[in-house]
Amino acid sequence: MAALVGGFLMPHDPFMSAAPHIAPKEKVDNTMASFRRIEERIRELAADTVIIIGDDHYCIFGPHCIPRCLIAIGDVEGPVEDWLNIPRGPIANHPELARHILERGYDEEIDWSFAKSLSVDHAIAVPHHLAVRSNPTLRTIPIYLNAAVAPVIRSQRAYAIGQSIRRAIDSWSGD
Amino acid sequence: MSSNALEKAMWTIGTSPLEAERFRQSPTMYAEQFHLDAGEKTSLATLDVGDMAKRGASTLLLLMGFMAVKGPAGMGEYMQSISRK
Repeated sequence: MAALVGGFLMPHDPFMSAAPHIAPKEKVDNTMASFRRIEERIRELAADTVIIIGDDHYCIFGPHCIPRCLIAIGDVEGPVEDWLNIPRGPIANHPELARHILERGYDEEIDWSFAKSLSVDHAIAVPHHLAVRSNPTLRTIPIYLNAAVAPVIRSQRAYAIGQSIRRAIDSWSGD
Repeated sequence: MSSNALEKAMWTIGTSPLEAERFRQSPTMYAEQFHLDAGEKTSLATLDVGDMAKRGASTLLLLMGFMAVKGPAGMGEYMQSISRK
């Protein structure tokens, strides 16, 4: 059985990794200390999988296709930006749980888009780099909600998706 | 035509180093391949992000395309142009 053990809100400003020196030192220190605290809490909670929910603003999805909500159910790599000071490479997913979240969502009228091979941008890569990467046992399921390219997802829908993810985790019989 | 075509052009430039280089080589010719009216073509060819924003293009997308062409050193120029929006 799976259990949701924690949740964290964090920024994904690309300059936090690309050019942290441009901000005042006190702010940089506070921000990085907060990420380290999240990193520690994830270890304390003995989590084995993290779900990172971010948004895209034309870094990976273009005017030809902008998914309202998308989950990666297969291969994941990134980041696509070469200026983030984050090494580009594979990111370990949890395909079975991701597929379960998608299927459960379908049953609950969540019209997920899905990616079998996804190259993520800073919205996923920055939180992953600063709070997840140091723990090699963690797997990461990326989710994108369109909160940045108008017309954006409605907040009620985003909330419903969050609830569906929670129910999917609660009903997951695997590890 | 529409901000959609401008966004398509800037997204193409912003996501492909090869396309960004093609734009740098000949901005006017590059703009010809998109369904743009005369004013939009000029705006794209001169990389007038302030004007493109005024026409409805996403400013985050404009930043990405602008930086792909100008490089990180172009941030100041971008800020000046976008502030004329």
